[in-house]
Amino acid sequence: MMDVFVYAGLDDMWLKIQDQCALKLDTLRKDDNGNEIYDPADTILIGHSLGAAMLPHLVWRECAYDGSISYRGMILLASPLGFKSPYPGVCQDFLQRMGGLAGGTRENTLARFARAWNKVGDNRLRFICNEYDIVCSDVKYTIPGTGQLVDLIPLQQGFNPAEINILNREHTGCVQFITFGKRDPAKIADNHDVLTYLKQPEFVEALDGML
Amino acid sequence: MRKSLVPVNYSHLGHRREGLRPFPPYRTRKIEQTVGREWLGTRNLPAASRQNANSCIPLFFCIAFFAQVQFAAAGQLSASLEQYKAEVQAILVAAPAGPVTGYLKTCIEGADQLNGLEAIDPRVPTAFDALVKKRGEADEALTADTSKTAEVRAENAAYNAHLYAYRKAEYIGLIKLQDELLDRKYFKTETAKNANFLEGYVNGRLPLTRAQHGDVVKAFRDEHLGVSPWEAIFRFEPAMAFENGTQPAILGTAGLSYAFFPTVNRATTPVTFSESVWSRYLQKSGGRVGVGVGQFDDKTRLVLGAGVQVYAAGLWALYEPDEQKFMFAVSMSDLSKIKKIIGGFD
Repeated sequence: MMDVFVYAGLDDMWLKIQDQCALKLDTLRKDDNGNEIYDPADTILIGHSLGAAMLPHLVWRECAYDGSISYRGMILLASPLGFKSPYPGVCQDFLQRMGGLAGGTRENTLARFARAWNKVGDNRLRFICNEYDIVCSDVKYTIPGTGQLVDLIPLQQGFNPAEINILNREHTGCVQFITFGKRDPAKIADNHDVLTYLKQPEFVEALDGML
Repeated sequence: MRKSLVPVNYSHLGHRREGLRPFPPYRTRKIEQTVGREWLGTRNLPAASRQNANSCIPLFFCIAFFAQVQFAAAGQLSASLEQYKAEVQAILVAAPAGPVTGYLKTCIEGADQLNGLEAIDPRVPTAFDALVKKRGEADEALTADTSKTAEVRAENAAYNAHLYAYRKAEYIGLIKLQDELLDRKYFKTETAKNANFLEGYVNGRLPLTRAQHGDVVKAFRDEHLGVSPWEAIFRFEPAMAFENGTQPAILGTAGLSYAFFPTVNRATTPVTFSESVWSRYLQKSGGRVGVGVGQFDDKTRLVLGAGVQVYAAGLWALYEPDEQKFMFAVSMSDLSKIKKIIGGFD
């Protein structure tokens, strides 16, 4: 959780992490001598969990400076990008940060971001969210004994229906909900497991579409 | 071979990139499963975060798939610009009248900012700023439908193939320098060893101390690349008071320090730093106020004071209200160093 706190709560550390990630990604596309061996247009970015909130920041920041999205595609698994800060003046949420770069409001930022991927191609942006994953969905868990359904985090973690509509309208079919695991508080980690996400046919289909 | 610019031919208004091999079996590079280790560098996180880095569950996960691309020799900026413009003009001629032609014309106007410039020209970044602004204006006019037309996609691909690489190279160069400035402010100096989350939060929120996070173009034109040299400090520091010998004290301090950053030399390509005497040797300085306790005549007493920070040391004028005495003191951001100094006096 410390990583989440540092990234989301300490603004200048957000910038530091963004810089480090941008440099790391650039290094990965180059050989040991610094020569570029992989074109950005043939680079597909895949993020999971907090990484799936960090990557949109990285791409959007680059786009704001470079004037274009250069990557081939981006798949975001269990992205908490839709998380809404209850105190935005105290702790900015992830979309506020993108809006600060370009876009403004949550809705406008999402629309511009999804539309920007249209210029790259169809099906180049994909959010894949497990409906039972507490990180990216406002899931209600069954409380053992009582059988009552309870939202364990009384905050908005995932996109709300209006935001999902905006994303899907601007970049057709870019938000996809899947279901695996159980509505069981003991299964929170399993419901968020990256390897399980990577095994889902929806992920394979999204990746194939980009290849 | 500097860049892998792939030749493009959009004369048919399609958007397939010629010269690009079919996507081979993709290669995977797992960047890092957990943040706080190699990927983001545990050394770069505050101490409390470092301690927790090994116990946290994996939260960052990122994979990049790459396909190796054919190389083509990169042209100079003017040649690349001509190629871009020729392709977009061809697209424009065949495009149906409407918002898409408006988009294409605005993009060409943006590209005109680079006319007559070569990559090493120091005016190129500013010209690109204007180009990017124009592209932003062009984007504003697009809708969900018009942004996915073949013409818009072809223009975007032409921009990425011919001009993007020049801007990206500058971007990465500036990111490196900005990262270095953040390192100097928050991690590299002696005073950073006692940094804490309160400081991290406050410095990220106060307008005076906060880095410019929003307008990235504006930030990179700033003399410190958007990183504020000012830093708020709230911490406890061990001190050595000079009162009938050396007396130990502990001070709770609040203050503001200024990091002497190197000058960003924009005349070179890539952009580099030019160090000054201040940035090389002094690095940080600032003022503090403090309240604490000291051991005087075998009694623990309250002390108040004001001080200045020079490098990792704080020089203090302390006042002890009980005995109404003034004294000097030295504090250090690193406890081990003050032990050595006290040892030397003893």
